[in-house]
Amino acid sequence: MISYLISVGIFGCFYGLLAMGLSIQWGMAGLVNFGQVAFFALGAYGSAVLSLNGVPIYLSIPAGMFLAGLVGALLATTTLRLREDYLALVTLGLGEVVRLIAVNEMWLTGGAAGLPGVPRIFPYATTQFDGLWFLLLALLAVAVTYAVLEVTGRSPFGRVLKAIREDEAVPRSLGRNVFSFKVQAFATGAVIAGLAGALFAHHLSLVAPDQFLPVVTVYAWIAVMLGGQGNHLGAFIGALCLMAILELTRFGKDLLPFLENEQLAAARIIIVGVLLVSLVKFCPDGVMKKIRKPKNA
Amino acid sequence: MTIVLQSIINGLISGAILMLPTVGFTMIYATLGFPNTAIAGMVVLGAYAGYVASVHLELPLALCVVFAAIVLVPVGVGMGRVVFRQFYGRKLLAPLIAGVGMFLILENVVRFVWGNKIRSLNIPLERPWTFGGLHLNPDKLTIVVLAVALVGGVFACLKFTPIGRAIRAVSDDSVLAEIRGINSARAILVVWVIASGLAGAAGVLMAADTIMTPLMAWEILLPMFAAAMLGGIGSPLGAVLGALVMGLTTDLAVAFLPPTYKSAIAFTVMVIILLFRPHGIFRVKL
Repeated sequence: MISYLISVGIFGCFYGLLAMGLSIQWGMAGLVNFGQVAFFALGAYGSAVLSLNGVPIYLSIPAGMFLAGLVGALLATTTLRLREDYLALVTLGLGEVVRLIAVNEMWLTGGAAGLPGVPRIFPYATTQFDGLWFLLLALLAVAVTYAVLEVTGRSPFGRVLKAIREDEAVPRSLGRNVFSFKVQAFATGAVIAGLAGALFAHHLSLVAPDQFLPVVTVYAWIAVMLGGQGNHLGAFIGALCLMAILELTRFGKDLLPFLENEQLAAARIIIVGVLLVSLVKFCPDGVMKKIRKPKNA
Repeated sequence: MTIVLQSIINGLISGAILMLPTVGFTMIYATLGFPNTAIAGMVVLGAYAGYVASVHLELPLALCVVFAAIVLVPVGVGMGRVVFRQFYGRKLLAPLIAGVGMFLILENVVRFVWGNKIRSLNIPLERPWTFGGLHLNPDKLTIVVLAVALVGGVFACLKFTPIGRAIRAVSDDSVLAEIRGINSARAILVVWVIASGLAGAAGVLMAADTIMTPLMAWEILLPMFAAAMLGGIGSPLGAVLGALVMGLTTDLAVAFLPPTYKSAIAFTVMVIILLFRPHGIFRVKL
């Protein structure tokens, strides 16, 4: 039971990091990223491939983050220059393309079977303690990311981002390079997703394409919507709530034993979709904001 | 050379099918101002509605298309009513997220009911026509004729009927249209009817062209975006041209690349358009 809770907590941290990445992109800069799973996958594959080829983990994880950030910066530079309302469509496409590459480029990614045997971070810990140590590490990553985001949010950089989100004509008229700020915000969010991916790869010690389905992005969006725009801690708490909801749906098998596994998997995603639609419909400003000040919403 | 010619034929067929969801997608964008990803989910649902009509009811292809279109209209209209109506005129983000949610719901409803297995429509096998090494199945011609007829019907409705004029007016400027006494709610309702009917028909035609799996949703999603962007999003005539260009590009590229990279081609096209011609390559108006 304890190890089950630890494992749920670890996944909560992964989704929390993905959500915090969205929190800087959408929450602070108003950029809509529907391909967070792509940066998650890039971080995971980047770190996994390097460490399988003998690069030590403390170098491969930053390299995975760098890869995710680089692709994020390139994508933002190409798409944000002229029409940013297409960003959502292009990022949605990126998620599929990264997964296609992972499935097809056998020599690099191991194809559909994936890459097994990715080195663990705590190789000497017994399995019992491995989870606990890893949970502490993941919580540390969340805490550091949160601190960085909060400090950034108060810095001049963060203030410009929020100004862009509200009305980009104002910072532009004050001489800020709005485009460059957006690219930096987008790349930062991608780096955070890359961190989540790298940790994920070394936790499961396996990376495979079917771990990077588009629904992962939707999980991150639900977490952010639960937390509310620009609320980084809320995004993390949102991710934990989401994990609780997802784990509860696992008991569906006991309640509805006549369903096939395939049907249960589909039913879970239907529930996730309904949750997302209802969140947008009933509390577009975030659940936590709604609870805190019900009249102002 | 034969490979190239055969790819052009295949590309025109897939382009003709792609016209249907893209026209619906772009009309919703023009009137309501958001990219409706749920269209791709409706395409899959349409394909499986066509499966019911073809395998269980044993209807011919043309009637399967009509059946799927009729089944999908209440789905689309209901979705517009229940999910999207409150977002009309709001920021891009909320309806966009809701659209992604609806896309997931529709795709997985199909998985829940019919499973992940690959299926195909019940179409009698016919000997393909061959001219000098090129192959064309008679039923592919039926597919193209049906697609062109449906899109032609929609254009005739847009061009010559009062409700078509109302839709065009609302697409141009909804406030101005309201001031001139146009019932924009009715125009939007008809847009939903057209978009969902076309999506349902497209699903059946896609399934008739190849096979069907729930993954079709993803196969149509990116080419549809790319086609709409090529034509200049919001322009139905541009959507038709964009769809044909996308179909040709994809099938010509697949002659030289592994076919699994189809979606990647659409993605590349999207990035290139955004870099160089963000308002589309065809400046056409209807």
